[in-house]
Amino acid sequence: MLEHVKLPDGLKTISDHKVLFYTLLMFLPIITGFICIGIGRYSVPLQDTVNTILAHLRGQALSSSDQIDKVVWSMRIPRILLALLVGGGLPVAGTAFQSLFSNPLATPDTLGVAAGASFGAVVGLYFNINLLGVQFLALLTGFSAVALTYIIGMRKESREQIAMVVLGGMVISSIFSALVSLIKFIADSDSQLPSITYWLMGSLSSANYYTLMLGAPFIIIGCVLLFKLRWRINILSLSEDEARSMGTNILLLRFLTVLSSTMITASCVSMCGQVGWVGLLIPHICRMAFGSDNTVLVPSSIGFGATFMVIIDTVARSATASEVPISILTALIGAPFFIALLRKSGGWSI
Amino acid sequence: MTFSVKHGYFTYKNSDLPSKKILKDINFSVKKGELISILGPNGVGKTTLLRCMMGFLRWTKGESYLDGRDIRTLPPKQLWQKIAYVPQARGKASSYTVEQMVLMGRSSHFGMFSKPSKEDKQIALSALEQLRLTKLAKRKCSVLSGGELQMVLIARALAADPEILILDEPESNLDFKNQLIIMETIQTLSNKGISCIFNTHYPDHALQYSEKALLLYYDGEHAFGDAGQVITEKNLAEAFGVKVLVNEVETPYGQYKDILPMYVLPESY
Repeated sequence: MLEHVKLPDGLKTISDHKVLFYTLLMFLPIITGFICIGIGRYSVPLQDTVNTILAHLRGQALSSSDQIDKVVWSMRIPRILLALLVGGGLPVAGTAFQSLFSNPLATPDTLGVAAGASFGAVVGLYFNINLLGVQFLALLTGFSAVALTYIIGMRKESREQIAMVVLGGMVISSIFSALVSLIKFIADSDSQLPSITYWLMGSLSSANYYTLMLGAPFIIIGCVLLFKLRWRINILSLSEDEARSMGTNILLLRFLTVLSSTMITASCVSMCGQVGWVGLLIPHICRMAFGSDNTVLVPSSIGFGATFMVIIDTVARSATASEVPISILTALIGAPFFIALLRKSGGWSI
Repeated sequence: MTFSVKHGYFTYKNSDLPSKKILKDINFSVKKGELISILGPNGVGKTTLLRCMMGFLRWTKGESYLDGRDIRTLPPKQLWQKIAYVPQARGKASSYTVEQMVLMGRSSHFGMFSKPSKEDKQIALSALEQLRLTKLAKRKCSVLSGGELQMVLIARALAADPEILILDEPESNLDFKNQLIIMETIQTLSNKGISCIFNTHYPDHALQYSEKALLLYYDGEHAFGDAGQVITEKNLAEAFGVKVLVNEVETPYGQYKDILPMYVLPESY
């Protein structure tokens, strides 16, 4: 029925600079991460960094001094890898939630996932459970939170379904926040309370290869799923009937989107506490720069988010003698930048 | 291809009006290329009927069939390659570009984890071309006029390469030029073999363009048949509670039927 027509010139779909764009998104975080390995209170020359990494990759005896090896290989590289993962993960989860709720203010916190995961992790810290247990508890409570929100919000044939989910998320979120406060209240104020409070503020300082091996797969799988679904996610922001008429199994698509985003959020929270703002800030910067198309938003949120996070964390660990909690920095740097962007672009929509 | 509704009943469960039957024993079928209009007063259940037909709402009793199969048993992908839905152009406008919006119409043609192919993009662009919308391709949907947006939504439906188009009040809220553009487009599509079912508030449009009409009454009853036989002074008076004159008008462009609403019938206040 539809005859083919010749494409008029200048009407090529999507960006003509696609290859360049994706190359930039791939290499920007990697190069930034590489440079940041050398930066810090103990500065390492680039040559030494390269030598250390090459030595480890070859499995050879160490060519550089023990000190450099310890700083580069055991401290900075895992920490930068964690920053890349968290920085790529939280924004892409935010992007997905925003489309899911057709709500520009939706964040990983909207479903109560962040609060839920925090509660699990705080319980773990309170009972001095080992790291694997903390991770597991955070994932468990994160998923429970999203499941509860789902049960509250997703009533059959409710026309206000999307709003109900957001409201349900708020309720669940505040319940879990209250539970976190409860644990803080009963925690030993000399030993446990400071560590819980510090962890809640968000820090990447606990990064090591063991933590990464436990948490990274969830973030990576979540990101890959969202990346594969990126075109479909556009459909989620249509109205209910329209979305269903696109011939997509909408329930399955929603479920996969929520699952991926929850996996990412819970895993980030359990590895480095609540890092605020990146899940909101980065998707919006990308949205203002590239528009609402998730085929572009998903990869750019990952790429720019990862880069942003590595830079912020490098500042957090090297700016002062004692480390600054990262969520303070993300808020202090993020909020004014966000306000400036908002005023310049005059807002945005999904 | 045939699409039909058999013994369709619908009652809102948690309705304030206790057990009011919105739709009662709806029966009709659409053949290839047929143009069917659905008429009725506000709140009678026109949109409900469309939503039930497509499975967005579940019939309380009865079924919709596509080529003899209950549509509830069809996988969504298969169903929405045959049927395309054009919602009313209102509510929050999306900030996707026209091109992206129309391309979404292709989504029933490839898997969940895939992106549209070059061919899908070609088809989307030819749908735009066919409705003379190519110049809007790069524009954001949020800056379009109501008429343009409605045409874009039709183009999106068309991009699915459907056999049936179902349109919800496509010409409401538009000026008469845009109304004509929409109605002429629907007619052209039906001449090309795409069956069209549309809700309308304009009996004139139903008379002028559609072959068959389905008129809904407040008591849940309905009349279905040739447009000229359903849209009569008597039936319209019964359905809308309005005294109506149906005139034959001789114009340089042929014979037309014209509908003049005169006054609200006293007993219907």
